[in-house]
Amino acid sequence: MLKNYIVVSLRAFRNHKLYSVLNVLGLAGGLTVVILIAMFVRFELGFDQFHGDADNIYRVVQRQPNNFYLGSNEFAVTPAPLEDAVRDELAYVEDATQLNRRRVLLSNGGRGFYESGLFVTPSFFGVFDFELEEGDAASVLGSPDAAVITRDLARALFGPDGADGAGAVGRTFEITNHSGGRIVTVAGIAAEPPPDSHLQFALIVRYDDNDRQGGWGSNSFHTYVKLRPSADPGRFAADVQDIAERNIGELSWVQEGNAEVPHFFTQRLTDIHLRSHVNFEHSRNGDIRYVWLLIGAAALIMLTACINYTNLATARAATRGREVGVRKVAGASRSQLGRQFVGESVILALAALLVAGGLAKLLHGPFSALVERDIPAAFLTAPSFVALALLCAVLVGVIAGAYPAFVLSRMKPVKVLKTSGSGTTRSMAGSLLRSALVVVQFAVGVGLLVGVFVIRQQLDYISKAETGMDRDRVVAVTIRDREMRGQWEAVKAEVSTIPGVVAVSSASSLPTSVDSSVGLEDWEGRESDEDVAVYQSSVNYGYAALLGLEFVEGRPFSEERAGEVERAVVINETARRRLGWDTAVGKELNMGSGPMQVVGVVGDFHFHSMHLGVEPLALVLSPDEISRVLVKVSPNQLPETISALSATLERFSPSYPFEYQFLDDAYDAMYRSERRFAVVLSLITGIALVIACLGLFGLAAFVALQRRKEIGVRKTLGASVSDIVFLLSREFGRLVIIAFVVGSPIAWYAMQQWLAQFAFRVNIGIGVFVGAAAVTAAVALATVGYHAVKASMTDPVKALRHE
Amino acid sequence: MSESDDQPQLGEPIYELRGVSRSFGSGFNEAHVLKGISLDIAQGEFVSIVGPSGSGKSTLLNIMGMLDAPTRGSCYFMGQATHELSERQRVKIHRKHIGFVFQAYHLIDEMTVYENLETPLLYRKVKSGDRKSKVADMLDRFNMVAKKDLFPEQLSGGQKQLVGIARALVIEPRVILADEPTGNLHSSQGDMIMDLIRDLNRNDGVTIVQVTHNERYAAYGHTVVELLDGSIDSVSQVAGQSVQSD
Repeated sequence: MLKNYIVVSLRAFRNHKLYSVLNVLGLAGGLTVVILIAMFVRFELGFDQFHGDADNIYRVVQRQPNNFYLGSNEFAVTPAPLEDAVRDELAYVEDATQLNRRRVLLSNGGRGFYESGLFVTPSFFGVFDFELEEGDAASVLGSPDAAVITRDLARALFGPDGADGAGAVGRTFEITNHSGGRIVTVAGIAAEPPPDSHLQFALIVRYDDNDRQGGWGSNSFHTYVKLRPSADPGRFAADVQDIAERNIGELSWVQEGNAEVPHFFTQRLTDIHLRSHVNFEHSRNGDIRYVWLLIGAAALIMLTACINYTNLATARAATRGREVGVRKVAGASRSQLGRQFVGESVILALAALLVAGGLAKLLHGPFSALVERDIPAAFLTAPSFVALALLCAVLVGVIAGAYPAFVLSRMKPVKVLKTSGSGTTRSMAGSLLRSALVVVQFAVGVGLLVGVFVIRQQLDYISKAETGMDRDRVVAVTIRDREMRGQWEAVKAEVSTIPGVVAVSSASSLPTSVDSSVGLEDWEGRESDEDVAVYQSSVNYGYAALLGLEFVEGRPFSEERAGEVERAVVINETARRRLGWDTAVGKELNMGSGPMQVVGVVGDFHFHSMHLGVEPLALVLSPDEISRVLVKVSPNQLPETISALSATLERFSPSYPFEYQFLDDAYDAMYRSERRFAVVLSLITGIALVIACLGLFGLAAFVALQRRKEIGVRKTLGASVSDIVFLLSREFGRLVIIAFVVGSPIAWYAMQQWLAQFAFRVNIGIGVFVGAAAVTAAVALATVGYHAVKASMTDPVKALRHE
Repeated sequence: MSESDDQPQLGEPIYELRGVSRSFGSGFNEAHVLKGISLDIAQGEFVSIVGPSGSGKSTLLNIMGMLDAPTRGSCYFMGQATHELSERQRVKIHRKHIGFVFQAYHLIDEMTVYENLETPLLYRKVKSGDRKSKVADMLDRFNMVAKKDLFPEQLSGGQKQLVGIARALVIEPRVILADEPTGNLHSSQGDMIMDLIRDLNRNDGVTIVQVTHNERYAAYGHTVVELLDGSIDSVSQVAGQSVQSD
């Protein structure tokens, strides 16, 4: 019996190619999206699970209630002595380690290169299960000068011989950071960390004694703790807080009431990637909300695809009536027929899954690049994944086929067998339901379109927004060589002579992300006890002019006046307001290094991303601080200017590579995840619309076929082609309008939620909805129009002759 | 033909229709297609139902085939009131005893001749081996072995109807209901089909009820029932024809 069903199904597919292709394509498109998203979700949810004791590893983090920094008062760092304290005092702690990520210059003689290294305590491999290709986890970091590197880094440092031949173990190289350089010895070779590790590294270095000072007053070390399986994580958090109270509470500044003991809490290692958004993360984390959003999008796509099948199959039911009739007359029961038709849609869904599997394999690379994740291709063939996909396809087949099966098996043989022709009946069984399903499909389309439009508008707003700063053609060169401090005059003189350089200045941080913040100790006319924190950047002469900052009061720093260095400050309008000043010039404030005098106030400009509001800012004159050399260039001969700049700066600092970026790019990079989301959502929207149109195309074909006679009669009565097109399109046009009414409010609400993450955002205007409606209507009409025009062109004589 | 307890003896009634009426629509639009038909058909009988278009012939046949139900009156099939049966029971009787032949053949386009013949057996859960031999017997009997792998569209009208009859016969039914089986055929093919149906009745004892427009073909049966406007106008015995006994 099963064989009979399958054979007949396959022949039916072959005999109705358009129908079958539309169906398989629709389902395959939907399943492809679902597979890709499932791969992404699995990857995101699987972060850091590869460690043997992943579920017992926790990170200690802290909250400082009054210290908001870049929008959050939570920090991933802890004091240095915490590691030993938890290991010694808490019996249920199996092991603990501390680490930092630091950018260091590596060299083995000659010009070095930068690498972001993990500085760790010796117990690193006791907590984490990163694979060692050479060296023993228990002893590899035993020596104070020990370093563990990947094979790629070994090749970069020591050449091919270092990677393979004689090997790198036992060889030495130099690492340099802002606190100076030292020689380390390769003690082991680590495998590349898995892509789903939130800790990524090519270099692991053991801290030396200078690296971890400061006692309980320090606060810059990431602490990871492995608990024994029997431990109670809740108790662990409480015990850490207790240790902190006892030790940090003893510090003099806490005793004097100048600071409070932070609130410590713990995070599961496996929660860090998706659920932790604290300051000083190791890398940009994922976001559980985007995971849910994508799951939602996948569900919508699958819904659209299922609806397609349901609609096409139900519409075609009219032409399959005879088969149903004959089978019933031959003795088929309703449940047998139902099973047959559900079986058919399951077969179709499985065929679609096969196509989708191929497509997903093909698209795996581009998709991984799009979402910026190294998703292993092996996911596709993992047995559990394949089983899930099969289950999913069968489920889709059953859901999509259930209604058509119901309609078909219900048909009365007497009715469907009466006509002798093709078996087509005028009955539009279930046409109300079909219309409702089309409405759902297009409501999804309209909703997604509104989403895409709003996101695009917001991104457009961000890139065109008046940020109060001229980012155009500003090159920011990163200077890591401490030797260059104090050479500002010489650097400025040389750089200024390069043709194409319009202006030169420098600062301690990028003007688009000033990340240093201090609490003011005092300011003139201070009345309240309320603390005010200001973001601060050390800047050089010419900073404000180069960035086109506008002064609302006072003036920029001036080289003509003596005594301004480290003593004069320019603040922004927000700072003036927050300090309670009407006018600021001449007033004094103290950021902890003695009183400084305000010489000017600049209008507010965005020195953070648009996610955050504008905070108080203090620009301090400090010509020695040249971490970022800012160069305004002319638009002509840009490549030549950049290479001259590179040559000049490398002359000053022979062992450091030239690192630069355009301020515009740095600005755009802050919205990377939003841009990525916009692209992903646009694609999903496109696919949803295409799938919806496949269904509509098929439906329109059947409606046109069913109304053939009516069209013929109307034409003989004098209807024009456009009358007929209008007649056939009107019905679908109405459905699109209803879809718009259903989809818009939902999309409006969802997008309000999305926009809430931005301190600066667009208002959702009527235009977005008009646009979405117009696109949907245009797409729908183009789809229906093809059949409408085709139907209206047919010769009425032919259509009527069959009667 | 297999013997079973519920098999009626030759000459016993297989159909007893008592005041069967069928109307469509309601109120002013109500159309009375059948008006109080009472009719007995004996096992082994060959009945032709004739009458002008719209006289209710097909509706009567559909009620006998349990594809339709009377609005009033009752139809007994082998002593059972069909309107008292559940859908499941109806399907069961259907499968076991009734074969249909249509004017438009109604073969399934996606199936070969062989598969079309096999389908009713599949629904009866006949074992694979039995199925093969039964289908092979039918192909053999109707000289269609060479055509078993062809699709319906590759056959002539007469051949299609041959398949239609073979399909009705493959389940070894008590009764074959034929709705204008020759309506779409040329006369030579029509004669061939009618000869075949008569043979089934004579040699296999299958009860035949056919609807026909053709007077000559109506005379192939024992009894001609003439319908006029939903009522039985006359019932006549065909000269020289009588129910055969084995």
